[in-house]
Amino acid sequence: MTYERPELLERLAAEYVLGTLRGGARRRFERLCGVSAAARVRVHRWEDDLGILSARLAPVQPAARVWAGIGRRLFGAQPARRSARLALAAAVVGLALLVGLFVREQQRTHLETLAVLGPDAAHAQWRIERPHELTSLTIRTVGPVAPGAGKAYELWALPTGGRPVSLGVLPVGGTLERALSGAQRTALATSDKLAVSLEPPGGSPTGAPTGPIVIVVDVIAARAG
Amino acid sequence: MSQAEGSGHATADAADSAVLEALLGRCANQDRSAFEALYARVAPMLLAVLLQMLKKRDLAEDVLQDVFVKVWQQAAQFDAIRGRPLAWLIAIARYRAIDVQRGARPTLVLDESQLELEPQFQVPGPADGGSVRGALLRCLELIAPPQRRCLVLAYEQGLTHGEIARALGEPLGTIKSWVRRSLQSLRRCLEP
Repeated sequence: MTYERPELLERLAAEYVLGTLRGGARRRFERLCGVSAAARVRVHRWEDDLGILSARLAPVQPAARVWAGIGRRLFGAQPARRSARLALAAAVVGLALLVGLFVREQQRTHLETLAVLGPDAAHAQWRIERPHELTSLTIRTVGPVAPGAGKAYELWALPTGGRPVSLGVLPVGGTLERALSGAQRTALATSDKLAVSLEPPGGSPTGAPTGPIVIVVDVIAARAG
Repeated sequence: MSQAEGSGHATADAADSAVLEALLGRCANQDRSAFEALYARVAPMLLAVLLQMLKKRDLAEDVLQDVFVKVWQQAAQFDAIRGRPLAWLIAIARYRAIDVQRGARPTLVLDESQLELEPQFQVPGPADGGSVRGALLRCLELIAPPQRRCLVLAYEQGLTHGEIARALGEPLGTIKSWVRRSLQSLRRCLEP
């Protein structure tokens, strides 16, 4: 079969996007798209047109396990899982190693308070904690949090002389452990203050605060040693 | 009407191309907070798409994980020139669902409600005006109801030609030519 005829290409692209092109024909067309710009252009046009039918569905909130699973698959094990695996490995290798790992794990998981966030000292909403090695933050909700419908609170590091760096959206309840990227660690290491802004759900779309800054607090200096 | 306006607004918000493009751009630079924001913004919509096609919540959520793993890995391949980042994301989700359906899908049972077209199809509201969405709905309007139903069942539920034939009680050949011809009419109407 030749794919050169525009009307055939158009029909295959339409049925590919619609989903009625199946099996071997679907896979052959996918391979064609890898090498044919004409096929890709047609596919994109149908995706843009028909995608409108999907965009009108009522959204369904995924279970929390979905995001956790994505994090595990892309960025490695969650801390709780990692310590469990370390302990298992240690049991196999021997008691001495187990003790060593246990001590290291204790050091790793010992948390220091980095900041307490709230509109004033009497109304704390979150406590931000850090392990000795600044690889993650533990965010504990300690007071009532109500950002209002369609809003979220986002945490920012305010590095000296630099722009605010997002540390992610703050939880409205419970405790959250958040791994820090290199850029976030660098920003935090040079920040004397943290801030909270009011943002759209999911946080600022631009990478900088877009809503009002509602809280600014001093970072509590980490104890030496 | 107020509820319809509310959901319409939420859709417009999620569909804000500039915002999604900015987030995808940051994902391409390995910015995990942008990835989290992208997830918060579009995962609920993509899950709705997947649920409609796969029916089972657990399966749809597993596929949603696959989709976001792929989005993170391929964010750099999103071509801002082609625009419509939401259409790109929806396509990734739908194609993954089609691949998952292939092979082991239990015998399909459709209830009557799934064979009905939703009211939005028949009545493009005044708010749709000259929008792209309005154009698509108006063009769908021009297709005869049984043919249009084929398109909707294929697109929304991910049904194959054979499954549509069984669901509607029409011969396979009829369904194939209905699908082909209604896609042609849709293209002619969208781009006269």
